[in-house]
Amino acid sequence: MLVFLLQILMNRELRQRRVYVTVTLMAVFLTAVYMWYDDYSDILTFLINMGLLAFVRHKRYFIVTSLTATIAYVLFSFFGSYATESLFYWVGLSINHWSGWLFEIVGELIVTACMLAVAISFRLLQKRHPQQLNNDVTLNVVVSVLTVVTIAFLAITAAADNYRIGSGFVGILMIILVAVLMINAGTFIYLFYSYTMRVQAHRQALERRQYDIYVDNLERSYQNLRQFRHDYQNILLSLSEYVETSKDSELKAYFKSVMDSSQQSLCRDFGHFDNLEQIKDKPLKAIIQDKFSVARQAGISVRLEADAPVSGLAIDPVTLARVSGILLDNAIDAAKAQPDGQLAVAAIHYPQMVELVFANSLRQPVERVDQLLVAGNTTKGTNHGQGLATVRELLDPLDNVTYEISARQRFEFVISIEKG
Amino acid sequence: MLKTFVVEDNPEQLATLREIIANHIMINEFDMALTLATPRAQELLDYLDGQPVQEGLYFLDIEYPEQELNGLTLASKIREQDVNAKIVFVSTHAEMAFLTFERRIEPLDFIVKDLGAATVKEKVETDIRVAYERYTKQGVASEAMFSYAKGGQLFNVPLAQVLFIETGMSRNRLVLHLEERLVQYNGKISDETTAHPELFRVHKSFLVNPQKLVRIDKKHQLGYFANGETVDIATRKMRDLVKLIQKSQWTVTFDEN
Repeated sequence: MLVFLLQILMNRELRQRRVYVTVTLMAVFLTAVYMWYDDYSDILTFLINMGLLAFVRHKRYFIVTSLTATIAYVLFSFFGSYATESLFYWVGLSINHWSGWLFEIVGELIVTACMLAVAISFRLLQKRHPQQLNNDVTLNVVVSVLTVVTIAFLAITAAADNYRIGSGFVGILMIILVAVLMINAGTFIYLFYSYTMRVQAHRQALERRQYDIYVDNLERSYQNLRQFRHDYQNILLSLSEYVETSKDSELKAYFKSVMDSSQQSLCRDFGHFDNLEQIKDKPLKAIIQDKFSVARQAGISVRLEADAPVSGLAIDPVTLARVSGILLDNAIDAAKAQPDGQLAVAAIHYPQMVELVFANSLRQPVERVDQLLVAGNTTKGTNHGQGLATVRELLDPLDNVTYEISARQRFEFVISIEKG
Repeated sequence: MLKTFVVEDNPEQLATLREIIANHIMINEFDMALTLATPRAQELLDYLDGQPVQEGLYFLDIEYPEQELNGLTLASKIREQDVNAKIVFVSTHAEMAFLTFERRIEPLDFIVKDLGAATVKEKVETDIRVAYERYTKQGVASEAMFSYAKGGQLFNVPLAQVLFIETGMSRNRLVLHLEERLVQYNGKISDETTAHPELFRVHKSFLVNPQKLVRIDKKHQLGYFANGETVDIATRKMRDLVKLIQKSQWTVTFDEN
């Protein structure tokens, strides 16, 4: 009975009327069975307990709670009676027929208290680490560990029950088992974490290398473009010398029109932006250069404010590049739809902090800024809200990075990076 | 009396500004004075060192070529001395760094010289009126401010814009909800509760500015703000909050059911 209650306490999904009815019926049935035949009672309870699987959707999570409950019950019912025995011994009561009921009550109380403690600590654990308990891999691991432990415990108790092994010996066995399990668990957790850390570090290094390659390529293509423009201008100039000396007025007129239009497009240097040389952080520079040229080609006026060199930002460069990319994409999307859209980025220096401000003009103020950060919420297109939710996901775990957002006169996202 | 200051390195423009300001004050008979008009930034700082000014009005340029101070450092130094300073930048369009200036100085206005003498005059006069209005409305007592710190830097916002503070996703992270802005910063909600007695802790994770509440839903234990944002209100705090609102006679509607 306690096992069921404990499970219901731990697993919210079990809080349904169907479950309560079934549990009551099962408890009555099991009590009846045990009155008649008591061997292997724990195992039987456990197996029947598994029937509750029918009621839940998160099967694996149920198995975790169920196994935890069973182990806790087996362990504490054993140690509970042991503890009560020693308690009685300390107080100096001998167990005779009149104090038998008292023994039962105290024993059950201790067991119940322990179970409650297990339930509460399980809830706490769940609240503290919600992701781990929803992660399939971790759940698999937990399930297998718990299964092994449960089988071991059930085997010991069954053996103890049926082969009349002395309780002292079983106690020692249990203690040894617990110790071995704890050592195993510790080793396993250590290995598991060091492995995941290594995988993560490797992935990050890979990402960074790819990003560096991307940045280099981008820079090279801008250089090529500039080179080409330079050559093209020179060719046009040398051609113009010949055209000027020719007497063909039609050719002259045509050439003039070609010169005028190319001059116009050549003057607009899509790759050059004021203050860009101040951004020493390579990935950030590349992202700004890339997005600014996209914006300029879309007819958005762009501005970069940086009055001092920006370098050595205390943030992972790939994270910063991803965040900046999302913010600039959003800004371009929003400003494109306006007749005189504007986009600005500012790097502001403080003694202990650098702030990056991403701003764009808005057609109309946004009433609820807080909702912009929620995934799926957006004023225009489906990607805007999703993007900001991603930005939030990337920045929230960083201790030295905070952000501000406002959307009245203009949309503004400020990233404050404190020096580490 | 509202003191007005001008720092402009171009002598002609300095003379023009001086004239516009002096005339406007005289015509409207404002309780104001053009205290100092100078081409040298350092002179203004020397003046402020000699006699502290509260809530002055300052017209500054952004660049002062051949001078040690530029507009940004000058304005930050003025802010240090005169927290409620009303600062107006008068500059050419090319040198504008709006975002940086807005973020660091929170100026009253930017006036772009390129727009022509008439527009500049009009804008300067509007700014004088706005500054004077704010000055007379509050008297000398400075506006109640709420400040938060980030990276050793103090940021001030008028308390009247604060809706509530909420605990963030991670430890020691707070989210300040202003009327027009959302600000994340590091701090503890218990510290903020003691530091700001004018705010009311309605829930373990919410500290609200009770004057900004417009509606309270007693059944669902929610407090509403004008923009539709809501906070949870703990049962234990509900009675105290209602009492406070009734005592202060704020206009808050209650949904009983």
